[in-house]
Amino acid sequence: MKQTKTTELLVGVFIVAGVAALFVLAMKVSNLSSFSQADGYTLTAHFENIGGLKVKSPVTMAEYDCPGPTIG
Amino acid sequence: MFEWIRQLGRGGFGFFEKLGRSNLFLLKTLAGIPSVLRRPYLLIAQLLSVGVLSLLLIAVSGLFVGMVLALQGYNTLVDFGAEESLGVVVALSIVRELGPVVTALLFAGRAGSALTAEIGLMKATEQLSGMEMMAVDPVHRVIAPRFLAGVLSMPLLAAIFSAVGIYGGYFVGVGLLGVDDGSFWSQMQSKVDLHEDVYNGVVKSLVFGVVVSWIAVFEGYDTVPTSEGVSRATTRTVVYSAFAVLGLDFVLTALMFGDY
Repeated sequence: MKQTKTTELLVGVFIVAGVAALFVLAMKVSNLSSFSQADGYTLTAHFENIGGLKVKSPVTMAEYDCPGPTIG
Repeated sequence: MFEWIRQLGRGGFGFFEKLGRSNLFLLKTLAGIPSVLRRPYLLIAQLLSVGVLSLLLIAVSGLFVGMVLALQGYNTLVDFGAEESLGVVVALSIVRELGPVVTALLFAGRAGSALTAEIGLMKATEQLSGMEMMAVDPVHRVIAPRFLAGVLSMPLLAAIFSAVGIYGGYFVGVGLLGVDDGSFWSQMQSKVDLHEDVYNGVVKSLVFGVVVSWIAVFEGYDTVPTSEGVSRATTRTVVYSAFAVLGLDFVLTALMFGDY
């Protein structure tokens, strides 16, 4: 049983990395993250034609990017 | 003619004998798991060789699989003007299928074959019989820690593969191909379900971990104790693992995602 401390450390890092990856999948990838509410405000606008515009489509206004607004 | 029928029968009996032997062996291994928990240092040493040393292979493969998926998905989606859905394509294919399956195949080649060769060589050099002579059960001391390490490593490795793969897809899709950053993530988050997709992926990788580790330790323990026998057992581990993983993947997918 040589290098027991290093072994334990590496295995610990491995397990933390695996659990962190699961956490990333849960929080960043799946719909669990939609419960967290980011800061934002409601804009009302009228359009002649919004063909191809879906919920969470990108919208640009005067060439400024508005990241992921909710269309509804 | 009669010789041919005799061979067929012998082959059939051999198959069922081996199937029964492997199932009894699995029961013995499971019975040995409590004694592993009393000696955790055995498990930690195996987690190092089975899990940690597979990490680089799994992470690099995941990165490239994600990058290729983003590239291929973009080329298809852009024809329909649907390149905003690239995040969904990459995340769903990786989390549901490619993460568990490709990780299991790589794991069988990287760790399963090594387990079989190690245990087979222990048998060929009569180390296992030596342990029995000292009243140490080799199933408790040698087999069960390796089996448990494989079962525990597999879901963690698959999760790392999936997470790295999605970031690889993000790098290619958003960084190189210019898909919108916000819609890449938000479309992914609205379409990927935690229970339906992420949990089922974890269940799949757990099942594959049990099957691949079981095949690996059984082939090692059941090997013909010669150099040729060990080499054949190692080959069989990789071949049977690939069959089992791909076949089981179809069954599990039908059970999890089928609408009937």
